[in-house]
Amino acid sequence: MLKVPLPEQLSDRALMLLLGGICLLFILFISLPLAAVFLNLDLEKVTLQLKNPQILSALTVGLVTSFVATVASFAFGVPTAYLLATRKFPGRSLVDTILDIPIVLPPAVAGVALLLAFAPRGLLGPTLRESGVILPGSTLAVVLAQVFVASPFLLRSAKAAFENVDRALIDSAKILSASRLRVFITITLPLATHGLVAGAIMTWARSMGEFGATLMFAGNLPGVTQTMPLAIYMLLAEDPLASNVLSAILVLVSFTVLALFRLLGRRRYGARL
Amino acid sequence: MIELRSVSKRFGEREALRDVTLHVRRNELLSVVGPSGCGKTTMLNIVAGLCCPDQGEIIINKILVDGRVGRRKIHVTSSKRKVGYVFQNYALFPHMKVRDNVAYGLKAMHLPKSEVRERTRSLLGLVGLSHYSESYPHELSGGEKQRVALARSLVTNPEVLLLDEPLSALDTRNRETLRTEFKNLMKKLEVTSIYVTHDLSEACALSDRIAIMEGGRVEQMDHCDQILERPKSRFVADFLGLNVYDGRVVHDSSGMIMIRIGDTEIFGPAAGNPDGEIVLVTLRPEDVVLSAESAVKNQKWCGCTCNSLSGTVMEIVRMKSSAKVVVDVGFPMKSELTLSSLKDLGLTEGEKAYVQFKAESLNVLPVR
Repeated sequence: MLKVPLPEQLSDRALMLLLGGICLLFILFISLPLAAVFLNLDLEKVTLQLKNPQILSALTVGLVTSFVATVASFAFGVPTAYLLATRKFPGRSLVDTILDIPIVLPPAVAGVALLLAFAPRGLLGPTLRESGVILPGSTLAVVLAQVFVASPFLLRSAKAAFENVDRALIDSAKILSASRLRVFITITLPLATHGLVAGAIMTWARSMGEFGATLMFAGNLPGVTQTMPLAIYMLLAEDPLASNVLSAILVLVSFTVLALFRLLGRRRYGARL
Repeated sequence: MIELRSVSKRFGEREALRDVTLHVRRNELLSVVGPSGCGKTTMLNIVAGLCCPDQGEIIINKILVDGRVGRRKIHVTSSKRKVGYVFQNYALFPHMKVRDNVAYGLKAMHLPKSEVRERTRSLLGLVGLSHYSESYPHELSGGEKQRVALARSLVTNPEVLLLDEPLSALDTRNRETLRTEFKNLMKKLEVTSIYVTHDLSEACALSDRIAIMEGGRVEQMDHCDQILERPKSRFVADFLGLNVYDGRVVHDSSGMIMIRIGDTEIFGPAAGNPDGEIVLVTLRPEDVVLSAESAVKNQKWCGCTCNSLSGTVMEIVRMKSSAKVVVDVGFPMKSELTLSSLKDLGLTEGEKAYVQFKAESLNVLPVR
């Protein structure tokens, strides 16, 4: 006997089709440009481009500065995050907001702000010049721009990680005669490790991709301040293939970072460490 | 020995503890019972040194750990109080093996490795978990986790043990088994303990004395039997599930003490209450006997002043081993009886029944 679909079933199917269609369009919109980056490349072209001195120097500057920026963000971000997560003090919410601002700030504005603060004519410019430090045009400026823009990612992740450590575990350790330092090293830190590593990965990835603030504050000097995104921009007109190879590298880096991030997110203490 | 003297604590607008005074004797296990939010856990946290009282003094084994000496405020940190604490949700360190969890306190005290190993092994043996020493907490059942938590809290030889609803997260069977184990262990170890629970039967099974808390205050502290028979407030009687009525004392012409509850008069115990006094009357449901006949037949009651009232069965609630029957005798009266007695009586809801109880079973309190 022929089954006549009920109006309810029909509307369910129509809704699923509509949702599926929207989802497909969205996936295409994101994945098409990503795929396009790899379509014109083959191993031979990539190998050849990896010997290109400009690409090599951009890679080196990018990797070194992003690594230093991540270490610096970690060194300043983790203690600050711990303080914000575990202590109450007047103005804590304000401090939290200020430290988060770079996340929503347009990178060009971040560049201008850094210039106004640290350039020779900026707020601290004269003091820095007296000490023989001129930041714009230096690799240190690249690091500073990256720290400014990317460190809030570490701060947020670390703060959430510290906040998520069960208070009862800390109390339990204290009652068992552990000093504050021992509690931090043996309980808080191991339990917050996932969040700290995830934050560091995000910070590193954001530093690697930093463009606007670096260009405005540090400039675009090959071998000194030219990072990968800057090199991609410069090479786009004169050597599109080199620009394409660098873009492909950055897409791969981003993919790896996200894969690592998800892997870390899945690991909990339900499974053996 | 633990002593709290007029301890008060506020969290913002909420008064968590109000002028709490209690005393736990040496090697005694005192149970603190009360509904959620009554201040039980706050009290434990204050004794453990996890938070400071706003007022009052805490004394552990004759040492003032919270309070004032002259103008100087004293607060001994939790790490120096020599207390053991068993948390409701175990609070085991998830990234450490069972043996490392148990050994944590000993390592924090910088004891020699051999001693740490020996004491850890001994405590795991005591709670019957020697073969789980290499497991992680997530590999254990709820009962096993709580045993590890107990071993961890005892391994440092605390002078005081604080237990915050340690069995509440377990299923009934595990809870009963672990309750017996806890009781035996406590007797064996002889450690002064405070056991917080919201389960009255658990409290009565574990300890001689219990303190009942409500709204941050200790409503009554006494032996279990005494509290059940002579509750000192409406809250305690309600909390214990007793029959609670407002009444007025009436002396009849023969000199007997009667209590009028609504339009019904019942015999009361001879306690010297003045005529006309407004009183609170409590009666244990176990002391109310149900009968299908009006005559009091209980031989044991000969010579006692007995009350016999008739009414209609309003509700019958069957439980695991007993039943609760509510009879409307002008006011609702609960009676608790065994399932077999209920079966023998053959009562059904809406049917007529008689309730009988001794005048001496009534607990009469003047209303303040």
